[in-house]
Amino acid sequence: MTEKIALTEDEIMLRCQTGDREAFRALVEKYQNMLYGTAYLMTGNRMVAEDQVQETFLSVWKSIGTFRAGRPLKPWLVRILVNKVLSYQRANAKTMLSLDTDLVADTAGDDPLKGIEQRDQLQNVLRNLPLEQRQVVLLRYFAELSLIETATVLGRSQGTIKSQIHRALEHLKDLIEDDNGK
Amino acid sequence: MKDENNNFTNIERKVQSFFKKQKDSLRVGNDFWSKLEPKLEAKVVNTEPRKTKGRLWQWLAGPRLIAISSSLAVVLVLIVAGSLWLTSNNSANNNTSNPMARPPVANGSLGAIAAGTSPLVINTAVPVTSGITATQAFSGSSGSGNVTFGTENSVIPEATGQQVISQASVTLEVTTVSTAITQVETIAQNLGGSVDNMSSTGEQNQEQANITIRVPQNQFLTALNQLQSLGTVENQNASSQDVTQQYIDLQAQLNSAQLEEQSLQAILAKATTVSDEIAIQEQLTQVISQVQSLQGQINYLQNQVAMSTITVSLNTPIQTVGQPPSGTVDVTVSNVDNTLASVQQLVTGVKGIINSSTVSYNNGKESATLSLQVYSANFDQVMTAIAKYGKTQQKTIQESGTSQQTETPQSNSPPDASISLTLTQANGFWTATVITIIVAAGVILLILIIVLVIAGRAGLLRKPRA
Repeated sequence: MTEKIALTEDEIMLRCQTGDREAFRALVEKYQNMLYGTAYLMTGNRMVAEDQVQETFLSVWKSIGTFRAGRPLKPWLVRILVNKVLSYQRANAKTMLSLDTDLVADTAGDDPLKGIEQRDQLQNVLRNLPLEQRQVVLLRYFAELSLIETATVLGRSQGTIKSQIHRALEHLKDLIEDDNGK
Repeated sequence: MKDENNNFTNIERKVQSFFKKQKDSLRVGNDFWSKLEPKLEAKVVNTEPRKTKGRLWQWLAGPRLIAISSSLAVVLVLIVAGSLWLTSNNSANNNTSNPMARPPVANGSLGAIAAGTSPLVINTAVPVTSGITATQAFSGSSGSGNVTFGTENSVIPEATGQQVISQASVTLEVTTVSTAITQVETIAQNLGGSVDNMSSTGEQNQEQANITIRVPQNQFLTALNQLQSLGTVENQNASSQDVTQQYIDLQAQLNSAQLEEQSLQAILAKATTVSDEIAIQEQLTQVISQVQSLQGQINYLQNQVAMSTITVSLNTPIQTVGQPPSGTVDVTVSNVDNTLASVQQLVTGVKGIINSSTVSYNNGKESATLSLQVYSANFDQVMTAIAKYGKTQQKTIQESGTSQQTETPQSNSPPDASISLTLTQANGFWTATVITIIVAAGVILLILIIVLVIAGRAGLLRKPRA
């Protein structure tokens, strides 16, 4: 029987820093889907995405003592995840399946994804974005990070992020309209 | 423009809404935590909340602090090592800046000479003019004695029952022999000794004197030290002889003879006939003579032990009358070219002439040979100045007598005193250069490492994300 923890983020982190597993579970449950979605949209592979999210939480657990109270938690988690995914992609550059291929192939098994049409549309929209713009869009609109947070996580300037978002939106506008028009 | 902004806001909303819908479909399995939790066991949990003391400390904490502190330590070690090396190098140069300085052995004390069964001899030979090298020769069997140099006011230990005779001879080169004789006498008297013998020969500037002084044994080394300070030590020889055994033998013989004398006296008193008396008297006379002889020998030994003998030879510098001074000097310098320029200035300054100047390279070392002519009056000045350019390896001087009229720069005749000068590049120049380069390279490398570590920690070295 697990006790429900209704605490603020800072309190959860403080408890985690003392080794409280229940607090860490609350943290995991709060952010697991957001991180998973981000990883999945970056890699296009469920297994890889889940593995990377697990690795992210393990890293967080390991280095939770280094987290300073008062800092925003979500960008920290996203940054760790993005680094994990990028490292993974670099290490497996040759064997990585392309986004579009995997997204289509991922319909097999117990895929909980609903609405094949939505996913296809997403697939079409994302695969046509340049990689940098794809990352920015994911963090900004899927992970819902602020401009500053997105810039910090990706290690780019705010100006760069702004212009990339601008270009990505322009791109997406056409793509979504085209997709809807079909 | 306004339409464009509206369009973007609309598309942004669409994208946001689009992604919101995706979130519902992108979820981890229900068993995510149950899969994750067992793996947490293997991870090390830092249960200590991070202490937030200050921004600087946080910036420094961790590997950065280790990297910076270790780098600083290495830099510090390099600097200290370099400084020490340079200091030692400088002090070595300073030591050689006065080539006429006598070697420490000539100035120092001989230290304690403990008596042994065999004579112990210390020879100190000092070149007359160079003052650069000194050789020390020690002889004596093991266990026979103990020699320690450099102990000021050392005293020969008066071993109980040991009878040791200390003797020394010193040859000194002095400016004025007559003055030196007086000084030797004063030294002997001040130390409770006396002048035993004295002889002097020669005229002014060619005087020579031999003085034998006796000083109490415990003042032997003090006397030697004081004598050395009177002039340049040309030769020095000290020895100690253990006569304990001889003394004991003599004492035993004396005791025996005295007993024999007493018994003969007793027999003589009891003699009844004249012939017996005469015979005993003759024997008694021999024994008394023997006792006196033995007593004399013992007294002599005691005297020799109690008062050490030092023979001092005093000479004036060897001078060649009628010849202008000439000299040969071989100097090791750090930079031959610079020294050549200095020599030219020096010689020109005293209205001298550089007869020839040859510069050569051998095994990467530059050397120069110069033949100089200067006026006799400036000879000493020039020689002294040259010696200060570097480390004098060899120096010989042949000076004229003081009675000879010396040529001055005002004379119409050309400079008469010749100097043969050899300048050789010191090995230390390249050593110093190489070490300086290595130290500089080390410091630069360390700074680079620090910068890289800091840059690495700051994430500046990562490839831009694609």
